[in-house]
Amino acid sequence: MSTPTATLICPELLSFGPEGPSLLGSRCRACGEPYFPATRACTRCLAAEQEPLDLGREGRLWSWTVQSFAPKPPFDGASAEHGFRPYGVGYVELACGLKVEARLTESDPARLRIGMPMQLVIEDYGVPADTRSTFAFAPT
Amino acid sequence: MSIDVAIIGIGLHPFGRTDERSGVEQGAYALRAALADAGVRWDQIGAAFGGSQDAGNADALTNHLGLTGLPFANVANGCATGGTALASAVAAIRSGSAEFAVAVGFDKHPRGAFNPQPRDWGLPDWYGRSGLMLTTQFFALKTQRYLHDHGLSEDALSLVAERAFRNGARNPLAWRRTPLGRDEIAASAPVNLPLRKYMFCNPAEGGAAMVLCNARIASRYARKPVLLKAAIVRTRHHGSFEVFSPSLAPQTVPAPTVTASRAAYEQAGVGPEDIDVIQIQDTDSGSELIHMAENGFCEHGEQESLLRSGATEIDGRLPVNTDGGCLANGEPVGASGLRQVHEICLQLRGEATGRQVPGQPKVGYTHVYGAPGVSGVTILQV
Repeated sequence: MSTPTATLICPELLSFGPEGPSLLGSRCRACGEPYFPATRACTRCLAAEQEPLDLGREGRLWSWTVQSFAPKPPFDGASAEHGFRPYGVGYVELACGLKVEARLTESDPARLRIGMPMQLVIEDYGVPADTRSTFAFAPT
Repeated sequence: MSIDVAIIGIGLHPFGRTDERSGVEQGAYALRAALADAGVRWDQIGAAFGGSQDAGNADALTNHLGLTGLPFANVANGCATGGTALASAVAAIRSGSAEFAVAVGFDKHPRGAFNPQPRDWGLPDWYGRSGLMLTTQFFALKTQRYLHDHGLSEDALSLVAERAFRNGARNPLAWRRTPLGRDEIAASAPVNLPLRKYMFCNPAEGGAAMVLCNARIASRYARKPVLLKAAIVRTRHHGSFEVFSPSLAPQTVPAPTVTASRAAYEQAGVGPEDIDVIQIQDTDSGSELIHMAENGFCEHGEQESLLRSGATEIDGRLPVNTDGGCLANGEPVGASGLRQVHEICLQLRGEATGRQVPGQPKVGYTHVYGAPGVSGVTILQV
C-alpha cells in the first residue's frame, strides 16, 4: 500500500471509495463498448460520444509475465544508485470483459497463474521507497 | 490485378554491427547492390519508398545516390516498414507512375532494448514511467496466453530458436552463426517469462533494397525475375491483441496478420499448400509460433508437432526462415521486412548458398508485423 508521501502518477485513472480504489474508464454511448483509459471516440463503431464508466476493482489474471531487466527511461522506478527490483506485469480481466494491463504486486512466477483472482491496489513502485505510486493488481 | 510486377534486383548490407558505416551508408550499400543486380541506374528510378526507425530519414539516401528529383517517400510503420515500402513500390509500378521503383530499408539501433516513448504512440506518460511500455513484455504476455489457450509447451519456444540458429550457421550473411542447443536456450536468462534471452532477436544494423519494374520488361534486366503475385498491408481492427495496449477489448478479433494473409492468398490466387519457402516474423520465438497459424500454415496448437517433426527445416515441407530470421540476423527495424524478401528471392533463384531449399522452390511467402498493429505479406513466384 502506498503511504501519503508517495505521489500517485495517474490520479485521473482512479476513484477512491470506502471499499478502496476502483479504475475509471469510459463507455461508448452508441454501442456500449468499454474503454480503459477513458477515450473520446469508439474505435469499434466510430461514434464520438463516450460516458464515464467505473470499471471496478476485481478481476482474474488473463496473462502475466515478469519484468526481469530495468527498462530504459521514461521508466522512473529504478536508479543506478538504488538498483532495480523485478516486477510482475499482466492483463486482468474485469467484470465487463475488458482486460486491463497493469503491474502486479507478485513477481514470483511460481505464484502467478492464469485465472487467479486479483484485486486493484495502489503500489509504491519507485526506488527509493515512498516516492511514486501507481495502480496495480494483487492476488486476492 | 492486370499488371504483374517483378523484382529485378536485390541488395543487402550484412546485418549485425558495422561500426565503420552509418545506417544510411548501409542503406546506400544495399541500394547500389540492388541497382547493380538489376543493371539499372539510379537516374532511371521513377519512385522510391524507404524507411529507417533510428538512422534518420530514408530520403537522405539521395545525398548518397544522387539528386535526380524523383519522388521519395519516407515510410514509418515500425517493424513492418519494409512491407509497406515494398507494397507502395508495387502500387507505383501498377499505376504506371514509375517504370522502375525501389523499396529500401536500413537501421542502426543503439545497444540494448528498444525504448519507445509514450508520446510517440499517443499514450500517456504514466504508461512509460511505471514500466509498461516495452515490446518484450507484449511478446511475453501474448505468448503466455497463446501457450495456455492452445496447449503448447515452453519447449516449442526453444525449438523455434534452435532452428533459427541452426539455419543462421548455414547462412554466410547471418550475424549469429553459432548453433545453440535447445537446452542452452531453455536455460538462458529470463527476459520476460516465458521468453528468455536466446528466444529474442536483438536490435541491430543492416540495409536491404529491391528494384522493381513491370513484369513485361523484366527479362531484359534479370535472368530470373521474381513476380510479386501479392503485396498487401493491413492494420488492426478493434479487438485484436497488439503491442502498446493498456487494455484489450472484451471480444477478440483476428489479427492484422490474418487479414493481410487472407488478402494476399486471394490476390495471388494460391493457398498455404502452394507455398514452398516461407519467411515469418520472428522478433521472438513466441511470435513465430503464433504467426505460423495466423498465416495459414497450420492450426493453432499444431506448431510444436510441426517443429519436432522437422517440417519447418530447410529440407522440410514448410521451410521457415531459412536464413535464420530475425533471431540469427538481428532486427534493424527499417530493413528486416526487405531482408525477408531478399532471402525468398535468393531461394527462388536457386542462389541461397549453404541453405538452399531443395527441389527448385517456385512460390515464396513473407510476413512481417510492426507496431501498433501493421502486417505486410508478400507472395512471390518464379
